[in-house]
Amino acid sequence: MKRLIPGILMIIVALIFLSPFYFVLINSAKSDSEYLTSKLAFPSKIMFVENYYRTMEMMKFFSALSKSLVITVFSTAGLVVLAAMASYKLARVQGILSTILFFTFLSIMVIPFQAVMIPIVVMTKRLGLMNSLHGIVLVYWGLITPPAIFLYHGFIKTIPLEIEESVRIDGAGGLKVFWYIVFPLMTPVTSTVAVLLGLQIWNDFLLPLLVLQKPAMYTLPLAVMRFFQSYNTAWSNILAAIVLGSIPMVIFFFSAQKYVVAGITAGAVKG
Amino acid sequence: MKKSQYNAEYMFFIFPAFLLFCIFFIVPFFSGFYYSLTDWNGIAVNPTFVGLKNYIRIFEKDKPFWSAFLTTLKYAAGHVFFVNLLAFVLAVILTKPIIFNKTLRVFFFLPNVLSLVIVGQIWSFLFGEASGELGRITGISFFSIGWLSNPDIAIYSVIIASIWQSAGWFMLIYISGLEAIPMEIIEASKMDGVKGLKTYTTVILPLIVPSITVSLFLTLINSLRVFDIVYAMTQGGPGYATQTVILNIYYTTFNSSLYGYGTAKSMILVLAIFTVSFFQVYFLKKKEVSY
Repeated sequence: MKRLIPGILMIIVALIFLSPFYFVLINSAKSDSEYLTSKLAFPSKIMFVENYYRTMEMMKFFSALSKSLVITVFSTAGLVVLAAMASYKLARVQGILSTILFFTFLSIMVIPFQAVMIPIVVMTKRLGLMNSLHGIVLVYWGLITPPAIFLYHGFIKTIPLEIEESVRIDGAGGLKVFWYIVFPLMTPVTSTVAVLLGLQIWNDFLLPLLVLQKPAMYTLPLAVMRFFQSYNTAWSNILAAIVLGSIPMVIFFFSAQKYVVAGITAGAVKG
Repeated sequence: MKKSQYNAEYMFFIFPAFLLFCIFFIVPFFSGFYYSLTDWNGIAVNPTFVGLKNYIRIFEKDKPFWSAFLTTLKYAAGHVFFVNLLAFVLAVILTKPIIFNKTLRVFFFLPNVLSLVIVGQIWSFLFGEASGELGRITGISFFSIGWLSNPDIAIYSVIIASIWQSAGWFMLIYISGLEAIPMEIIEASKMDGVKGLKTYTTVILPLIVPSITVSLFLTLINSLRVFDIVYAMTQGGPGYATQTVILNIYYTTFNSSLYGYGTAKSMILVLAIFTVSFFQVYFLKKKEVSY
């Protein structure tokens, strides 16, 4: 009994806490006239299909979704490889150079992105990388690899050297040793890195805002925001856009829940 | 045992990451310093070097910048305090043996997977469109206040939205800290006669100082550089009421084309964040207790 009552109470609290989702959902399915009548009432006529279909067209949903997908997948995959490789050597080869390089990488974690966003945009322009998917992916590789290095670095120390030594004696070169032996052993950190940083990249707004200025290139958060700004009175459509913008991550979260939670708690311990 | 060495393989593994890092962070960081000493408008090929003129102007004449600073500090105070409070309370409740506690953690974390601009839009809707009606129906006029239209209240509305989004994340951090405390210590303290609230103040809180440090640090850093959620909810308005430092820099640089000046402001922000982080880590590290 002592377990049940607080549990039920908290469920009620949680439902109140999550009520914004409810109100956004029901209003996204209302016709414009019903919406004007009441924002809190449940719709008498549920217009999911009409509203959402129209909204998807207006905000170019599938274009934005595919941009977000491509950018997030390639950025995350790339930074996993780059960070795993770099932190491998930084952890295995002890010395002044390794220490200096490691702390240089770490310095980005104390300097806010916004402080360097202007020169970064300038650099991106100079390199002809503006308004391109490969451009923004390169920027993410440059900026998000360091936190990944930080996460990998601590973990590598726990992998015993003997495993590598024995394979090397058999004549395998460094790259092979790394890919077939070490990297598979780092899977726990890889999933943490991929989930945490991937989530961050998907939801990122400021960098895409600055670098992707052509609407055709918009990521999903950017597309939703622009929709909000352009159609600022068509609320049932705006709310549909908000729902559409949220669904991918919500689905991802529920399927990868374990990893997300594990990742944050692991990161907290390291932090 | 052969020790690994600095060799071609070392460079091969590290070079790609380091190269990209240099191009997109190190070089921009230093060129940032340079731009802040010019009057560059973002387009001119040869900006004029003006020395410390930008910095002097910031300190002497730029009132909006400093009120943005103040707004940011107000936001930071509210955000840091309430996020940590809520996260801690939730963590305490959800580490007790109550039914559904694991599922509840997922529920409270859910807002965190949303993009901050989407969170901003959701609360824009709630505060703007829905609140008036709620006030009429319930008869409680408190619900109908000008959440986003009243310049004095707007920043608090933004804080509320940010708490909704972040609390879940930090709840998880506090949960991991609380779950790491071995039961024996709690038992032992109970036998020593410690009970009720004292258990928290004398036993539990000191043992979770690492979680507190991390949470306070992250919430503070995040609130000093807040952009997305304010941009989405109020764009800094009404008027300048919710304009934070980053928003100020953003508008200065991109709307007024004052790249050099904007970068100078960024440098000041970096300095401020550095200073704050340094003191914070210093004081909190001193309080850590091991067992």
